[in-house]
Amino acid sequence: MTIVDRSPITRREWLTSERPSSRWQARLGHTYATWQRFQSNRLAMVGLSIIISLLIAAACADLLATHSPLVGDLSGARLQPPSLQHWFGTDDLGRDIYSRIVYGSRITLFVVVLVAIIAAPIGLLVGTTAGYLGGWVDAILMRITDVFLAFPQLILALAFVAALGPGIENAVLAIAITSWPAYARIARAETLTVRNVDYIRAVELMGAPPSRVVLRHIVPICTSSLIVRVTLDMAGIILTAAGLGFVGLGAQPPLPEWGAMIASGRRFILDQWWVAAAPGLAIVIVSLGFNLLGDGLRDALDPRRSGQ
Amino acid sequence: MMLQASDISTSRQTMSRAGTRTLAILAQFARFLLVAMTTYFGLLAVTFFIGRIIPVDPVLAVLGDRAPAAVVERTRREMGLDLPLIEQFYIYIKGVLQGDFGRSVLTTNPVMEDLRRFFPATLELATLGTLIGSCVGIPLGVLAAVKRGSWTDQVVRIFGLVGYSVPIFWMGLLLLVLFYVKLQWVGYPGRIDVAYEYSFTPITGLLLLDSALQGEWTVFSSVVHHIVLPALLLGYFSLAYISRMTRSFMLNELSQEYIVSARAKGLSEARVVWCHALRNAAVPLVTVIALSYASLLEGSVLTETVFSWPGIGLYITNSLQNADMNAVLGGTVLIGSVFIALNLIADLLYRMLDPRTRVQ
Repeated sequence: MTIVDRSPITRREWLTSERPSSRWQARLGHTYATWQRFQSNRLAMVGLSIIISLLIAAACADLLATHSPLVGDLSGARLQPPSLQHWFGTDDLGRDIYSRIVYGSRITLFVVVLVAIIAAPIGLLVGTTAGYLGGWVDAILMRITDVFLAFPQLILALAFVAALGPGIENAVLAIAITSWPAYARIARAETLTVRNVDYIRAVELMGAPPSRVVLRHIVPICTSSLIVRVTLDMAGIILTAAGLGFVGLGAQPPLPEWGAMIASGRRFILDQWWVAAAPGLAIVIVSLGFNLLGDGLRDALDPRRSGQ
Repeated sequence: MMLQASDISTSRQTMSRAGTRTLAILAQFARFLLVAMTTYFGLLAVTFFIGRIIPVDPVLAVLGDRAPAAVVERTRREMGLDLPLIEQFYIYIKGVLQGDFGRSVLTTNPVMEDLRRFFPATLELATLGTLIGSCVGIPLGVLAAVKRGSWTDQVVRIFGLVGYSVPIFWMGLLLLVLFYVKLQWVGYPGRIDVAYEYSFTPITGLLLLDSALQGEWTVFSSVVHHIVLPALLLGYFSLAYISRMTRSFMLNELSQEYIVSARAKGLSEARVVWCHALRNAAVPLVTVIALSYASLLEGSVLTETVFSWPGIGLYITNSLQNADMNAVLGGTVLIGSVFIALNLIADLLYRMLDPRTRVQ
């Protein structure tokens, strides 16, 4: 209240000001404009709310879950249909499927975030370095990228996990190894567009070493398109992780990983279809959320190409 | 006199230009070959590396852990595992180039023989899936681009996004329950009815083609019953990608000036869209379709598991579960090779179809 009273302009006017008085104001104003564009996209907002729900589910799994995700009631509650007590029914070990899905959101988030943390920086660094330095560094780095890009992702991940041994950590590693090349390509393309622009020349003239030019002035340019790409890839990462879990090479029992849950429900699909259906639905909703969010982010961050 | 001289000089110029052009095309071809070879070399290096990091000792895997030390030592030497790593890699590459992936522990056949038997099933499924995806996806994408922003566009968009978001194995399971168990519209998992499995001798391994060639229409209908569901499923996934890219390319073309001039000439809207815009959008689309074909060949791993489809995917997953590394690596190299080949073909086609990308 005091802020509004003291300043002659409203907060909105301050944010949308044509002549920002500080870098801080300009940055906030830019963010505000992006948010406005994003907000006007209804599907993108649906995606955002799905992802926020996923975060809440993962954070408050202990509060949201009604039963233990690992210990079931073997005596009386095996393979029960959905009811008031077990919202999505129970699986073959008498475990509450709803609770397992809620806890499973943690594993999904773990996989997605870890892959993004490993793969995106590698791709960013390789791409920007190759694009900025050019010459034989570029040639070698891009050749390596091409080799990895030419690989069938799922099959390579399968082979890696088979060699490293099944488990969620190895699945993450395998997916990360197969997903950084795409980011390197994008980062390199972005770098090439700004490499000869005046402001980069100016920084170079001031005596900045290549590492500083790349890290402080080129990397920030690439991040927005990279964020979009990573968000769009998240759905693919979730599907690959679930696929690995389904074949038995991802998360191991009794972890409530959604793909592995589908695999264990497969045996009862004829009579107790909900055991496999519920976790699959969770995967669909979350990956749809990431896809919608990524689409919306792309339209909002890059108005030039919006709608395409 | 003057005229003649200039004539000669121009003809010499065109000659030399033609010469440089063939040279440039040859150089480009050489570069293509180089790219393909380095990529393939990388593929072999990575698969070799994977084969070496398995925690299981390959010697013990063959002999069991009760074999006497002398036998273990001798087998190790026979398998070439006592040689330096570089030499092992050399032997591995030499073997692969000769089509020798070793023997599968599970089927006891040479891996190459197994691959030859399993690959047609995967090929048939992926081809049909890509056909369905292109035939439905391209019109849908064009429709969405033409009616941009309308509810048709939104429906197509969501239909495609769902295709991007659904786990293929899960959808396969549910569809099997619905169409095979409940409605009985399609055949059970597998390629063909058991009744025909031994009476029918395939020629190429592509059962649809084989049965049609031999005029065995009952077999043909059985094959269709089995392939329709997995093919539709794969088709949906390829449709999701193709329709999305078609829409994007079409929007790009429809905003070009030649479209305005085509409309100004008084051409019908259908002609403008289908003959002018789509023809130009088709160039990048070829690449998209080739890539989607490649990803179907790969993505069929999970589909084949669900539909018990005796293809490469099922072969790889079965071998994985039995730690049969020779078979896994053989399958990986095969699919990787097809992947690389398709990528190259897409690249070449793109250059052939779009004159602007040709060398000057």
